Amino acid sequence: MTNVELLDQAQRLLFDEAAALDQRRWDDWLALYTPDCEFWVPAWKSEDVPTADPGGEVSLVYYDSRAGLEERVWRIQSAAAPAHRVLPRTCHAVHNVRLLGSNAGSLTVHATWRVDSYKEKAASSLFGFYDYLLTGQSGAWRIAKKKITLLSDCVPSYFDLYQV
Amino acid sequence: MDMRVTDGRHPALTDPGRYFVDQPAQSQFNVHRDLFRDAELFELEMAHVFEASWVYLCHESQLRSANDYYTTHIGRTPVVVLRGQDGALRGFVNACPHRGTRLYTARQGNAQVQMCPYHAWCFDSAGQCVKIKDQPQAGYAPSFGRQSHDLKPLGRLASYQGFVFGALPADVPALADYLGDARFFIDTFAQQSAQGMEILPGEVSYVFRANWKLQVENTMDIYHLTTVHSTFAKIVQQRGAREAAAAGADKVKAVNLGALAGQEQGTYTFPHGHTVFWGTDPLRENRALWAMRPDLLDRGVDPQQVEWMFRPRVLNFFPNIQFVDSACMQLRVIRPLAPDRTEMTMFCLAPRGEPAAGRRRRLRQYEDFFNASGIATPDDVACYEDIHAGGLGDAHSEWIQGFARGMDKVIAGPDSHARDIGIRPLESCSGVEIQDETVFRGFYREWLARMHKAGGAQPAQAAAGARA
Repeated sequence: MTNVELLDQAQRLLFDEAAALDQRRWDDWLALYTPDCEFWVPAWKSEDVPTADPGGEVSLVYYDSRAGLEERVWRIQSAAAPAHRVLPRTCHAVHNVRLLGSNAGSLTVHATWRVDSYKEKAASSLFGFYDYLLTGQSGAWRIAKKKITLLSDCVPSYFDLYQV
Repeated sequence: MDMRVTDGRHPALTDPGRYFVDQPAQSQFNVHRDLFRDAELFELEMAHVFEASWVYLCHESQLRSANDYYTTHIGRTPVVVLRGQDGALRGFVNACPHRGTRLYTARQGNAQVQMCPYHAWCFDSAGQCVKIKDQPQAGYAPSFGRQSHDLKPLGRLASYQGFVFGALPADVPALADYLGDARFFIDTFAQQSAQGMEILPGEVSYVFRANWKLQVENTMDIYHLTTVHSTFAKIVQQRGAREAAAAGADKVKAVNLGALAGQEQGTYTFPHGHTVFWGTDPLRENRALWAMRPDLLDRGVDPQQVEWMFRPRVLNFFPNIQFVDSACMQLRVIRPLAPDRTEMTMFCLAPRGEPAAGRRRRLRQYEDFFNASGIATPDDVACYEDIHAGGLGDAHSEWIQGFARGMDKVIAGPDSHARDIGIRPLESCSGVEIQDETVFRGFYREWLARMHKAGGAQPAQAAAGARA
């Protein structure tokens, strides 16, 4: 398997994830993750440095298994959460995808992202970097780790996982 | 002090009946909707509520070393807190006296000397001007040399238990007097470790589209929990069920809102607009602090203090700082930007020297509930924004009705719990399932007293003490 082919596979998974979120196919989104995945959005210690240790520093979101993502999906679909009474329309743009490393069972991938959200006649956007660890095998990769560095961290009102 | 607002004719300054109905004998308390949407009133609030007395600035752990600085605001005024070479904390207006350029632009940092980026005037970490570029050959008149070019100091800066407050004017009460007996509750946040407390790295902020006073109310409002946070409560329950099924899967142990129901709770109103809510948590061993409880008692912390550390409690110090402890501790700093725009900055406060497992659990509890990316706070914010999106309801009706719960239960002075811990609130309200709204009155009475003082009237604090 060449790096070009591996990069293509990684890219396809990232784009599939973006599409699943934008199209609100929540179960398809969850299926991209391993049950013991780590999902992490660091906070910021200063203008330049995000937090680096979820055990000792504040994160915006930190889950060490898919159960946290499943809770979010349940909440979004519950129709009982005021923050989700009207879901924003979202559009993920994932670009500059780079394969940083690969071995028999894993790929390390970096990308940049921007998500535009639109709700109640107002648009807003968040943007940053993705760092993925994909595990599995050629043609059947799943997400074992996803770190989302949110550069625009003083957010308008609030956000959920489908907006980053 | 900021002198931009000089118009004494605004009815908030001159006509109390225009904005409040406060008739304890008739069990009446109403607040006018304009308090949340009047742009002119917002400027008056900045001048007379935020810029006229104490506001919270930062925690001492955020400036540990000499020359550390921390930037924030008092109302519309940019402020910097500096730790000098001598170790003392000082507060200044964060602006170069030359042109008013903001001097310290980073949120926090360390600088022995700070140079103004515009004309290179330099200031040391005691706020003194140490260099004016090209001064000898510049042709300044002798009067310039007689003027101070140092940073303008705040009128007052003082700490209580590591929490740093500042005021633009100097003629404000001593901080201990301003905080009053509500200090008992700050102590329950400040005395959890012999090594002191710290703000954990990772400051989280967001801006919501609603008036800042909705944040003040919501933090004291227990009535909303079962509706607004129903999904949070259910998720916590489901985690508990998973834990039972999988033996130990719930590592977060978030506050169980269902378990709080049916327990005794209460509120206190203190002078100067400070208010406190307290509850009873039957699952207090889920708190990260539980592991440190023996140490607390061993080192002689008052056992009553220790007991209160395990109660859910919410403190609102007038006007801009909220201490929240539902499962873990949070500080919320309120910065109003406009009548319909408010910036919130959130901090995770923790005891230093906490065991690693407890620290991890504390962080997960914090993120779960308190973050704007969590599963509880977004629902609060959505509700504030729904209030504003609707224009605060019917344009033809003046009064908001949200102050009636508990009216027949509130008493003047301390209740039995307050007497047990030796504090004297102005009003107390306690019982099971009251979720009272009378506690909001303390905040509004102080708000009104500030406005009246600014308008030249006698303070209206006399209204406090509902049923003497």
